[in-house]
Order: sequence, then C-alpha cells, then structure tokens
Amino acid sequence: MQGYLSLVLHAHLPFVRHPEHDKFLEENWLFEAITETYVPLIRTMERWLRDGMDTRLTLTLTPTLCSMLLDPLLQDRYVRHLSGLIELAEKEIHRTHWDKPFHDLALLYHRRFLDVRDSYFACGRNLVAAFRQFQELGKLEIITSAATHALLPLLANHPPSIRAQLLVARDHYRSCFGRDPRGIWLPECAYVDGVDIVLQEANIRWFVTDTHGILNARPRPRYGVFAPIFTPNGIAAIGRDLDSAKQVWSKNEGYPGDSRYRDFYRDVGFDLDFDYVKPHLPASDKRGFTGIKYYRITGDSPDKQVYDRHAALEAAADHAQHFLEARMGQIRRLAAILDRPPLLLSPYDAELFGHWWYEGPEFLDFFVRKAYYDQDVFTLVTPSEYLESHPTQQVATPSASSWGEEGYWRVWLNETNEWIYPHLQVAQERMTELARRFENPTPLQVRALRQAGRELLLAQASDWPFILRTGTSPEYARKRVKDHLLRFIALHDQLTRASVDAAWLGELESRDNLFPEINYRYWA
Amino acid sequence: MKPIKSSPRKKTAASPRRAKTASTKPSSSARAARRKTPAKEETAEATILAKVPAPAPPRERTRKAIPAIPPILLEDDRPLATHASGPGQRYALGPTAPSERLEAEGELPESYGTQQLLLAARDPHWLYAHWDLTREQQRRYNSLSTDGHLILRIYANSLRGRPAVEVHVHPESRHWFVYVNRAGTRYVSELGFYSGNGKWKTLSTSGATLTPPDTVAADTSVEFATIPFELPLAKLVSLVKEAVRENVPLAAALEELRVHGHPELPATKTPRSAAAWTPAQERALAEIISMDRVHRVWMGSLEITELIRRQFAEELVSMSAAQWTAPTSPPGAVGAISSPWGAGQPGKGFWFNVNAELIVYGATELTATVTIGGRPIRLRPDGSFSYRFALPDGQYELPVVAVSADQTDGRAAEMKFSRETEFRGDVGASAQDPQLKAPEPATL
Repeated sequence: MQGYLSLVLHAHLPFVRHPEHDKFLEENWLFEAITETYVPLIRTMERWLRDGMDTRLTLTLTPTLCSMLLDPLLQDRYVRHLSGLIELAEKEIHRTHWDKPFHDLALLYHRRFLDVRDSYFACGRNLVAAFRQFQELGKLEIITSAATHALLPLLANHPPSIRAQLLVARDHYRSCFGRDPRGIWLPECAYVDGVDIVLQEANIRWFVTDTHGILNARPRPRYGVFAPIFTPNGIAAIGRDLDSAKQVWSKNEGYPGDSRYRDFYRDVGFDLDFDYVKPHLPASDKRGFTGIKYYRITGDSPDKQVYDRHAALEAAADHAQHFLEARMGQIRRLAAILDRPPLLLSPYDAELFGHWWYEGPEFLDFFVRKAYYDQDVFTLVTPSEYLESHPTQQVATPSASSWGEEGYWRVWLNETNEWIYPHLQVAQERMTELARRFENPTPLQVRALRQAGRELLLAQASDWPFILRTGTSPEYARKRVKDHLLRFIALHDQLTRASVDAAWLGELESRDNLFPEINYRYWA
Repeated sequence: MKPIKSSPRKKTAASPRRAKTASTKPSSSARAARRKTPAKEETAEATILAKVPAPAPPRERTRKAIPAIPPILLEDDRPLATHASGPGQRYALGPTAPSERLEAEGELPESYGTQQLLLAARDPHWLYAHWDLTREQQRRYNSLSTDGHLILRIYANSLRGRPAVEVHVHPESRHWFVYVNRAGTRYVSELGFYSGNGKWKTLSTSGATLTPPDTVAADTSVEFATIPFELPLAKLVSLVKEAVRENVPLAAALEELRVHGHPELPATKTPRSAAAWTPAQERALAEIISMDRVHRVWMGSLEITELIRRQFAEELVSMSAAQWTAPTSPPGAVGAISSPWGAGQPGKGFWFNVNAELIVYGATELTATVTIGGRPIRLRPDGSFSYRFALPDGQYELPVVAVSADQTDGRAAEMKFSRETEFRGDVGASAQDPQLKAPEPATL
C-alpha cells in the first residue's frame, strides 16, 4: 500500500419548490437527479455491501438538497414524475415493437425505471436516511456545504453572513444525520480568509480547495497537492488532484465524450410526436428532456447511431480499468518522491455520474470494484479517516480560490449578475441589525426574524448568479433573487416600522419552508 | 454550482439553423446564374429554330431554366409569427394563477441612497466597486464635479499616497470593474470628484479587500502541526488559551504547547523540525504538479458539465426557434417537425433528399376509444386525434376503429395505402422522426 485515493461526489441542487403551481419546470432538476444519479448510487452501494466490500466513498449532500429530498410535496411529485416515466416507457415498448434495437432499449428503460421506483419506496421515499445508513455502517462519509450554497468569498466583508451560512448548515446536518459534520464542501470550493475560523467554531475539520488553492498557499506546501495542509486555525485543506479530474471532466480527453456512450441531447422529448410525449414533458407546453434517449454520441456529426448498451458498458469497464491504472501509476510515482504516502483527492459533481454521463454509475462501480479487488498500490479512504491516522501536516494558509472558471469568482461577479451584490450588502447589514435589535421578541416576531433569515439565505444562493452567467434559465434566476430580496425587505419593514402581517408570513413559511429551526441569532 | 472552465465552443450536434440552408434572399450570384443560363438556351434555341421554318411564333420560354426555389425554403428558420396558442415562455406556469399576495410586487429599489462604497476583489487582478447613490444624488454630484462625472480611486494598502488607479466613471454608472496590477494585495477605494477649485472631494470610502495571490509563495519554510482528529477543536482551543499567549492561531499554539509538554496532547510522531527535503525531490514533484500545468488545464476545455449546459442552452434556443408549428396543433396538422438534425451535409455538392410520412387523423366523441391498427390512441381534449407513421415502400392495411364509451356502438375505416418509389440519380432519404413506424397492422 503506497498511497491513498479519496473519491468525493458533490451532490447539490438549489432549493426549488413551488407549491403554488401544480407542476413546475425547474423542479425537474431534482427528479432527474434522483432517477439518474442518487438512486443508482444507492443501489450501487447496496451491492458493494451485499458483496461484503469494505469500500469508502465521500458524498456531499447540501442542505438545500436534503431539504428537498425530505419534503413530502416534492416526494409526491417525484413519484408522479416517475410514474409518468414508467408509463412513457410502456408506450415506447409498444410502439417500437417491430424495431429490435429501439425495443430493447425501451425494455431497458422500463426495467430501470421500475428498479428506481422499487428502491425509492424501499427507502421509504427518504433518500437522506438511505445515505445515512451507509455512513453509520462506516462505508460513506457524508459532508455538508453552506446552507444555501452561497459563494463565501463574496460574503467576506460581512462575517456574520459567513457564520450564518455555515452554522445553519451544521445545524441542519445534525438534524438529518444525528451527528456533527466532520468535513465540508465549500460551495464551488471557494475559500477565503475568514472561513476557517467559523469552521473551527463548528468543529468542521476539513474542506476541499481547487489545486491552486493549495499550490499558491503561503508558505509553499512542500508536498504540493498530495497532502493536506492545516490552516493556522487548525482546519485541514485538501486540494483537488488535477490528473484524475482531467480524465473524467475534460471535454476532449475525458471519458464521458466517448462515442459509445449515450448521447444526452437525442431525447424522445424532442424526437417524438408532440402530442404523444406531451404528458411526459417537464413543461407541458414545450419540448424538453424526458430521460429516454435512444442514441449514442457516435461522433461530431449530427447523424447519431442507436445506443448499444452492451458496447457502452464495455466502454465504461475499459475506462474504469484505464482510470485505475492511471491512478496506480500516479501513486507509485509520487510515493517514490515523497517521504510519506500521497493522498489523491478526486472530487466530482455527483450529477456527472448518471445524469450527464449515463454510464457514470457503472464506471464508478467498475472502478471501485477493481480498486478494491485487483490492486494493492492504493487504498480508498475518506478524508476523515486519513486525517485520523495522519494527524501531522504542514501549516499553511490556502490561497483564496475556487474551482470555477478561471479559478476565482469571475463567474459569480460579472456584468450579468453584479446587480445582486449591492442588494445583498444592504440586506445582510439589515439582518444583523434585526438579529441584535430584539432582546425579547414575541413569538410572531421570532417567526418573522426566522423567515427573514431564510429569505436572505435563499437570496444568497450562488446558483442564481451562476445561472445568470451561463444563461440557462436567466428569467427564473432573476425572479428568485428578486422575490427573496423583496420578501426580506418587506419582513424587515414589518419588523422595524410597521407590524408583522401574520397571514402573509404564514404563506411565506409554507412556501420557503427550509431550515425550520433556523437560528437567526447567527447573524448577530 | 458546477465547475466551469473557459473553452472554445464546440458543438456536438449541428445547430439546426446552421444545418439548413438559410439565406433570406437569393444571392446575387444565383440570380446572375439564372440570367446566364436562360440566355444560353435562348441562343441555342434560336439557332435551332432558325433552321426550321417556323410558322408559329417562338414558344415562350420561362426566363429561368432552373426551377424557381419557392421563397419559403429561403426564409430563415424562425416561426413567421408569434404563436397564437401556447404561452411561448420559458417557464411553465400552471393553469392556476399563482397566489397574488406572494408574487413579487414592484421592483427592487434602484438604490438605497446610503452612499456607501462597496469594494470587492473578484480575482487576482480585478476589483468590483459599487456606490449606492440615488439618481438625484448622482446628478447632484456630477454637476458639482468639474469632469461632469465621478471618479473612483483605488489605493494599495491604505488611503495614503497616490492612488494605484484613478478611474473616471460614466456619469450614470453605479458600478465598475477595475483592473489592478498586484495580486495578493490589499486594496481600498474612494469615490469622489474634483470640484471647481481643483480640490478633491471624497464622497465615500470603502472597506478593504484582498486580491488573491496568483503565484506560488516565495516562502518555502515548513512548519508542521499535529492535530488529534478525535479531540474537538473547542477543547484544543481551550487547552491553548490558558497556556499560550494571545493571538497565536491554534495550529502554532498547539505546537508550542507540545514542545513544552502538555499532559492532554498526545505526543507527535513527526519531529517538529521538518525531515530533510532535497532539491531533487522538489524538482521531481514540480514535474508532476505545478501552476504551469494548472494554467494549461485552465486554457484547455476542462469541464464537461458546463459545456454540456452551455451547449444545451444554445441547442434549446435554436431548437425552439426552428419549430414550425405551435405546440397545440389543430387536428390533422403535423404534430411537430421531425428531429432538426440530418438535414443534409452542406458542402457535399448537389444533393437531394426526399421522404414520406403518413398521417392518420380524425375526430370522434370525447369519451370514445379509438384504435389504429389495434393500438389505442389518445384523444385530444376536443375529441380529435392524429397519428404519424413512417411510410417506406410497401403495401399497408390500417383499420381505424372508434368505439363509444358504453361499447354499444362503433365505427371502423379500413384504410389501404401503398408507396412505390423510383429514384433517378442519387437521392437520399430525408431524415425522418426515427420513432415513426410503418403501419403494419399484422405485427401491431
């Protein structure tokens, strides 16, 4: 055993819940992720367990994601969504009757959707509890993230906001998992001075930064990115390994672009007759992704060939083998240079495995099995395990950095989205005023203070400026920021100048209903 | 929420708009070609006719030898008019009106009038500044300024001395992105103007911000600390607080305690002074990982999901623009176009694709059951239906049956079709919705 590998999957979705509409397009993000990523991951881990494997994996489940997974309304809607998918698959089985390749795929989807449904109900519709079980068995380390995934460096000039984002998250983690989080995925791996002192307060012991967050640390880390460093406040910072990232993420060289894999775009929601697919579309008035896709990437031309599941799984197995050998080679080479066993940290968005890259879960399964059975160069670990057995590390201050485009905060602060920050600035300061002002708030005032905190947290989500920058659903993102800020402003008004409108507050509470026990005093 | 790296745009599927020939009017060369060829033909014909006694006047020929391209094919692939039906919006709002009370009333305030100056570093060389002035405040200050607008001054470290950057900002602008030379530096800023007598007047000063470093540290000194993982940090903090002087951060404080021995701190295995580390080791490691490599990776296209998302958004935009029909189509109309891909590869020389589809459509009572070739068909809310089939060469029999809800009455139509194609020259099959099947009732 010459070194360690830590696989970290980061599962996050912004809080999207619209009880005021019967069906809402953006809620689909959750349903797709559950169907294609989270449940397949649970099923894979169940099989590892069944096979007696003592594997290790690390998984971020962000507070907003957990809130949605636990929400009964969204659970109901997910079941409805999944039933619709199963029905579509049945229709497809019927209509592709003469065409064997498509027919086989329709049967495959049907079976897979049924399996997902079985698993979902076997978990009691509670995926948080399902993941929790793996943690309690010691096979999975679940880590948290900031409450609403705010980009902490952009809150740096208002330390109470950083404190609130992190401590609310810590509290929520406790309520979901019955213990304190030991690690955290800072949103976008964005680190800045001022974060680690709050982590110290929360007793969160490690976080991830991008490669240059460690390489540019002061003083220079001796072991590069292959060992953690302790910040002066005693929190371990672990840097992303570049090679393992590139092999999976890279558009040109990365595995997911292989021509045998399923093509993301050729979805029946676009190809089939509109009336036929309409009941299964995410938005009933226009085409969109259903999740049933029949083609493989094939190549650059628009002519796609039929997806061949067997060939795709072979590709996944080949890639898993390649990835394994690359990691082994890397660790051997590093172990020869360093005077201690190297640690590779390989983080990925969880949704890459299954949603964007359909064969991702199988790749992961093959890789972990090969790593477990077929080699002894490295061991799979969780960062907490590693730090427990290797408590001595170099002390250095990580560089402020993120894993976003160009390595800092350009994505979240540019001409498309800068308008948000002045509003947040004022709202943040007002929240601190509110938190300090009420010595003995009435119950109604407490409710309003808590809701003000919720609205502020939701307005601070980094997802909105990100969406504005990438332009995928800009109107929705703009509306979310505006709605939450306006609600906050109204609550602030009612608490300071007028009186709290209980009926309106009740409606707000039923809609923006995350973090029921939020402690608004974190902003004080 | 997802990592992104800058990347050259590369499409995995051709944008439907680009795949189709899209020119809004015939190019002048095409027009010239049409003029040229008929002239040649007329000359040839004149020659022929000249040899033949022609009692009748010369037959009138069309001016164009090439068949006229119907204008519709030359139009851009945008729907000609906004859809009469369907919201056409990106966000599906359900049929029930959202609760009015909670919908955002009004707009966010343009400004809060605090005159506060916000300064934030965005990356090693860029700062963001915003000043919270109302329009009136801004106008007033602009008018007092000899330049007619405000000026933003950026200072390194503190407000003393000459500013590192002085930016004249647009009179109506309330924010600015400023380039600064030094990474890893503390900056503060000042907003003001030069008044009539040439004196500087400060309106507002910002807090400090720090640009991140963009190079490895020059300092290569090494200090280690041992932090027992199972002990809560609060406990470690309280241990050091009593024993060590103020303001020493935890890691360093722990090591000081350890040096002097502390009963509750487990002894560390690693000596406090670092083990020897040779330049050879340093070089070898630098070959494996360095900021150079990181930068090269940033330059390349790294992140798949971001690319997928950006491409996806673009695809959606061009796909929806390429839709010909409104989502709710009247009975009998083509439900939707087939896949936008596969319209032929431009640049391959002259080409021609053709294909055929069969649409069976009709209407009956809302509550009836309709089957086509034995397969139940869903009716639209008004009782109408339509169904598309691929129609390759062959003979087909298709029974279409409607049965009343109480199953006491029914009607049937036995339709028979045949297609038989003869090709002249290389003719391809136009891309067709691959999910369409030929109507083969025997195997349905």
